[in-house]
Formats: sequence, C-alpha cells, structure tokens
Amino acid sequence: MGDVDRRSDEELVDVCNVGDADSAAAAFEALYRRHRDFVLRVARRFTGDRELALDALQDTFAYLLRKFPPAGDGLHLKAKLETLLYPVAKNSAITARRKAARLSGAGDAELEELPAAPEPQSESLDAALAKLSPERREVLTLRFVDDLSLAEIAAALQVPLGTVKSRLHLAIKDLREDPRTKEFFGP
Amino acid sequence: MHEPEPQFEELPDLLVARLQRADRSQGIVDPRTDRVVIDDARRYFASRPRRARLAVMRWALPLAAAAALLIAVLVLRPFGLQRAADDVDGSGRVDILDAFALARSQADQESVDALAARIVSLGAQRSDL
Repeated sequence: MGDVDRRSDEELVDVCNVGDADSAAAAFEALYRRHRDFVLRVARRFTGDRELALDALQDTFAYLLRKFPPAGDGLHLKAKLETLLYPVAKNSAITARRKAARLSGAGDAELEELPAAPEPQSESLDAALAKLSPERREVLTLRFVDDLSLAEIAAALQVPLGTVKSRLHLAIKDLREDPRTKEFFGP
Repeated sequence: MHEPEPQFEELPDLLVARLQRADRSQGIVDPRTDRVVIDDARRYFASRPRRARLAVMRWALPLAAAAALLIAVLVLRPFGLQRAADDVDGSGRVDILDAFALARSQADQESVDALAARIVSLGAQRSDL
C-alpha cells in the first residue's frame, strides 16, 4: 500500500467490522501502518529490547485483529485507538519480557509492570528521566511524546483523571527541580 | 500540538523536542514484521465473502424477489383475473350490454334469454342489498 489512507480510524474500523475480505484486510493494514510506530515505541519502553518489542507489536495487532468478526463481535471506537492499543501493547510487552526472563533464568520478582527506565547515558536528560518514578515517567511520555490528552491518558491507563493530573504535575515538578533539566525551564 | 489545558504546566518546547527525539528514534518496524502482521490479517479476513461475491449477493435478493413476483403474477392470473363467462363484452361486469353483445354475436335466442334472465336476477339481488 503505497499511498497513505486518508480515512479516519473510525472509518477504517467500520470497514474491518463489516467489509468484504479485501477491503477489510486493506483497512486493517492501514490501521497497522498508522499505529505501528506508536505500538513499537510503547513496547520498547516496557521491554527495553527491540526484538521483544517486535514480538509485542505482533501480539498487539493480533489482539486487535481478533476484535473483528468472525472471531470478535466488532469494535466500536469511543476514544482514540491509541487508548485501546496502549494497554494491549504494554501488557504484551510485559508478557514478552517475562517470557524472555523465564527462558534466561531470571525470576519474575525482578520484573515490574511499569516502564523500564532508560539506562542513564551521558545525556543528562536520560538521567533525569530515569530518576522519575515509573508512573510519573509513563504519564509524562504519554502526554508529551505520544501527544495524548489527559483524558486519553486516563482511559489508556484506566486510572482516574485526577491521578493523571497529579502524576503529570509531580513529574514536571521533579524535572523542574532536577539540576540536570532545570536549565530547560529558564530562570 | 497539544489540546490547551491551561490549568496544567507545560514542558518547555526544547525539552519536549528532546523527549520526542529520544523516544521516536526507536520506533522503526522492519518489513518482515510488517509482512507477518499483514499476512495474518489477510488470512483472518479471507473467510469473509470477496468483493465480487458480495456484489452478486447485493443483487441476488432483489432479483429473486422480482422473479418470484413475476411467477406469482403469471401463475395466479388465470385464476384471479379470469373473465366471468357471462361477461361477453369484456367490460369487467355482467350487465344488459352483455346480453346485447351476445345477441349481436348471433348466438341462439335461448342463450340470450338465459343471460338476460341471469342479469335481471343479479340486479334484483343487488337491489335487495
């Protein structure tokens, strides 16, 4: 599929729900191409490993695919598709990481269900982000990297809106006070 | 870029750009994974009717209905719309004009009288009602 499909997610989802074999497959492919980078980024955050993230990506879209008939009842978007994909990608990534850890002999106790902190590099920003709590880092990333609204973040994380606001506020406060990122905020 | 939510602090643009650059640089999917996902979708949806079959299906119902209607008309017409035997002039009703028409057709007098008698009798029944 060379051209970018200009139909909205809602329209594509409708075609996946009721379209014929060819148009449903084409609509699903358009959804996949539109959201794969987002899903991969999310999976990467929770696995810290590209191969595991790619496995999680496949699992996420396999899950989405089976929401549509014949296996599923169909999907009716009430919010942005990212709010549905995010928890699926996150869970797939955590599962992939657990599986890999089990195979390599590492225990489950070492694994958290929260984003893997980026390894502090020489970059001061990475170090400051790594210092944030996983919950705050997650909300900060969804807001400013993935461009979700606060309500969408609440839906994606399945937490109250107030919790999102609080986590975001504290994340920004932490960055404002961290000497490594303080300079970004100016005097 | 973001919906305005003024009650909350925003991050400085430079910091947002740095965050995005760091995170988005990791999001490149390889063609092999694309192929796996897309092929999976094609196999999954393959059980649905294909477009050509759907087009046929779209016409099949109205065509079947029209054919059924036509057959019904052809089959039922000899019964439902059968002309009455006494309706000689084919006007759709039996009246004195049919007797005249019968007389003109050089039928025997007995038949004409019998028809006229039936017409009078029918007329009498109608007036009783």
